[in-house]
Amino acid sequence: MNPMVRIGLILFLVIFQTTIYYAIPALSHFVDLLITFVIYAGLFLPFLESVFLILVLGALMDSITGGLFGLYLSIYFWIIVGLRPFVMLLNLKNAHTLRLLLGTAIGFENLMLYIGTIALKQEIVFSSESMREMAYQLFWTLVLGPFFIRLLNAVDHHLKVNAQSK
Amino acid sequence: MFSRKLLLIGGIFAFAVINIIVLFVSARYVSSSSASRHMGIAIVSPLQNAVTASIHSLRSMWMHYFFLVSTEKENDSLKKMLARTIYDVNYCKETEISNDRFRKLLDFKNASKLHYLPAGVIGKDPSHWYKTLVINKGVSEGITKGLPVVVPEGVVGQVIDASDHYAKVLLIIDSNSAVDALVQQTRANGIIKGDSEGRCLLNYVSRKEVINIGDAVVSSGLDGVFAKGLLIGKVTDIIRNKSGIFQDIEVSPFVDFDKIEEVLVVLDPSSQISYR
Repeated sequence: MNPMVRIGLILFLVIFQTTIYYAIPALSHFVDLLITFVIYAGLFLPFLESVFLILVLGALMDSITGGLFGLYLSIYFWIIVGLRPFVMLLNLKNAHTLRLLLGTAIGFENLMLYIGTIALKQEIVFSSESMREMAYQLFWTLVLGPFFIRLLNAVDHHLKVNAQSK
Repeated sequence: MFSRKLLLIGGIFAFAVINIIVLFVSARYVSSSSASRHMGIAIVSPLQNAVTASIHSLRSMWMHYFFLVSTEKENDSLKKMLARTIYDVNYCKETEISNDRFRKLLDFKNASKLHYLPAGVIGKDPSHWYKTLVINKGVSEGITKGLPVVVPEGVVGQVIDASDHYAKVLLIIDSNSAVDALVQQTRANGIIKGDSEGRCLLNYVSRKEVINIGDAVVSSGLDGVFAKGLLIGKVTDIIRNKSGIFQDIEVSPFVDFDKIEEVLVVLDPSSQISYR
């Protein structure tokens, strides 16, 4: 996939998660496609390219969210940095490995977003609704996330083979 | 002296600490309407607008041409509601006329009409920790930071950021939102705050006030943002602690925030209902 196609994919995922999820209530608790993309980028793309894509994704997310500017940038950046030591060690074809990484990333993302709400409000708040939403998001991401990562990887591989054969 | 690995770990740790400090400092001192934010909105929002318009067209087609099974039943029910509404409108007109007469008698200033700008909701905050919406009107259409946003059912929230053609609205159910409010029946005053659970809390209401479940809560107009008398929600729970001078009141908003498609932005909140 060339970088422009990847940026197009990022835009598509952001629109999907902020507009289509909102318009179709049945999807509101569905898989977190963005965190899945971050894990895919961290595991399968060159480090510098993944950092660039994640900075674009983080900046877009920070623009449309009501939270602190830089929060999503930080979350995605630290996920990518945190994944680095494990890329060579883990068996990335194993779905359980991907699930473990996805689960950890979602936990980290929600922890950071929670810290963001504390920073904004200057007091500790607890939201059982957010915990419930996180549980749904975690469940669906653990179930479907590995398939989504494999799909992205397969499309990437296919496009690369096509480009080489031309 | 130090190994390369140790330096790397130290560097990453220091960077993480700096990152957290910067986030906390920006929460307090950096404006939410920065140029970088506007650039992101300018890229994403036109696409959100196009996708939302397509979804609405498809939904409208489905509802108008294919989904007609319950139309007859709905028609009967709407006819009954219309009859009731005609009666209510007539009653309101009579009340309005009496109200005008009394105002003149008491030499009150006339309530000025609010100017609304309709806007479509094109996106929602991707995180469930923050409750914001993106609308398809911005600075070019007269929207500025701080303007109140309502729907016929009641108060929606307040504009917190506006770019050229798009704006971000903080919902009243967000924990960072606050609206000065009154209990309609008893006129007890308090502050409506979001509680992160999709509901609101009416804070700082004295324990002496008698509030009942089902009482309507409306905006008081004292915050200078929302006009007086806009519906907010109804009281669903009251907790009177043994100690303390206030009671905790849970309010369920009248607005269904998951289903808002259009909103009204009040363009001139300064010309609200005012009394001499």
